[in-house]
Amino acid sequence: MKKLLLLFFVTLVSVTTEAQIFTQVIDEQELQFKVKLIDEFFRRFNYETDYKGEPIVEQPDSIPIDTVVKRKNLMTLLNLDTFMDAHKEMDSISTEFLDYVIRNDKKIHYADTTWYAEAVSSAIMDGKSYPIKIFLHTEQIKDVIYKWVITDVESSLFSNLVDSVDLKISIMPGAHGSSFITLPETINLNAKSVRSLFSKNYKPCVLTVFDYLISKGKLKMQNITKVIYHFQLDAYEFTVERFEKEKSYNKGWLISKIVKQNK
Amino acid sequence: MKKVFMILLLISTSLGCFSQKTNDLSQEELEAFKVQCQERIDAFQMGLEIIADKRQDAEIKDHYIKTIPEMFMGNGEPWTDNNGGKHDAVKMQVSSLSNGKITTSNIPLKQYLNRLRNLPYTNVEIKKAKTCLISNLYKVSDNLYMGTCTFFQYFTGQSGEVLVYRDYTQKDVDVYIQRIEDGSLGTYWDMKFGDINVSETKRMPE
Repeated sequence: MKKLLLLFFVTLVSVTTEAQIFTQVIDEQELQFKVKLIDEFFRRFNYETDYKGEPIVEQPDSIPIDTVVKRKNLMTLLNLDTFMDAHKEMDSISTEFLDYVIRNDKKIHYADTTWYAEAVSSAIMDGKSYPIKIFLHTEQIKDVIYKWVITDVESSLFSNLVDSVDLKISIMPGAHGSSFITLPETINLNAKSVRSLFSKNYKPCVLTVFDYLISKGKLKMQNITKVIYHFQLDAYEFTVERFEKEKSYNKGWLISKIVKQNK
Repeated sequence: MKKVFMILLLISTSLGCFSQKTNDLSQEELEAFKVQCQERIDAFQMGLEIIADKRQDAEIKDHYIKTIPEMFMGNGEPWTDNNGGKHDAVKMQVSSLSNGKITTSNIPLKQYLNRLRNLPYTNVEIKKAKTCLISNLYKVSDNLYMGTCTFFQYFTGQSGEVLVYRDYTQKDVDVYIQRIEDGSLGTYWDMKFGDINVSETKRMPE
């Protein structure tokens, strides 16, 4: 007990002493404004919380929240370096997008099937490092339980899979006559172009190759270096990326690109 | 007819809301976890400050190096979740900035704590901003939920009287909440941390 008390006392003294010599000025408001997590992006986009994280509650006897306030809130989610010019004017695509979201009270949710993540990483194979992108969607397991699933991978590692076929290589039209006796030889001799022997309808499945290489231990994943989120909101597609800036309140997870599909 | 339509509308709206939910916890439980998480982050932070502080007694540092891993899944050792999924020992991502280039590496928590104690500075301070954010909670399985807590650390390293390194980092830590059913204690909630990711590193003027 004595030891515990002593520990507590020493800890307290230490914390107090440190507080006195610590000179770092922390701008808490800058940290509050920053869109720190993608979940916070969702909350602020849906106008559920303000930049301080406080819930926004509409008073039942008051008029609906002013669209001007909503617009200001949504503007904090745009990378202003991309969408605002030197005269502080927003460009046409972002203005149109914000109008659409506000007018139609559009919201985004984790459970939606209209968004996905792109995780940028690298992988090592045969001692060489390759950049690799992994695309992930949320998938419902049951009730409120979801998980992230890999839906696609993209890397220069797999580029030879989609190269054009070598027309010089083929299985002879009369090969069946000798019960395909030369087939093993044809495959083995053309090991690097074996896809040239496949049907013209063949479409390589990169995920299957990824599965094979990883499960055989031939390919080793490295750290994730960047994540980009892609959203589809009716005719609009937008991406959200992390931006870090010096002395700015406009940072964190922000909309980096908006594209309107012409339907 | 109008009444039936209204009821149908209400049902469909409530089902719609349910389908967007990622957990089945009550608002009271969520609020309680939020408070508990912030308290635990503060306790973790205090432990780090003490381990890094060159003026602290070795015995006290030993105590925190021993007890901090207890706040983490697997107590800092490889662990298995209640779905049977296997995980490496929790990792602490560390970063440093030199010539404008950020380098990050993942090191096991226990190794990190010992490294923190032996940093080659004569004085070290690690401070945390008040701003702290907790993500949504996601139900992983019947008795397990997870989320992320974000906080900001300010690091200062001093050699003699000279400040030689100062940075600010955003740290995102996985948070796991498990419902434990114990024969003698009954049912209770247990909160543990998981891997810690550094999502931003910024060099501060010395």
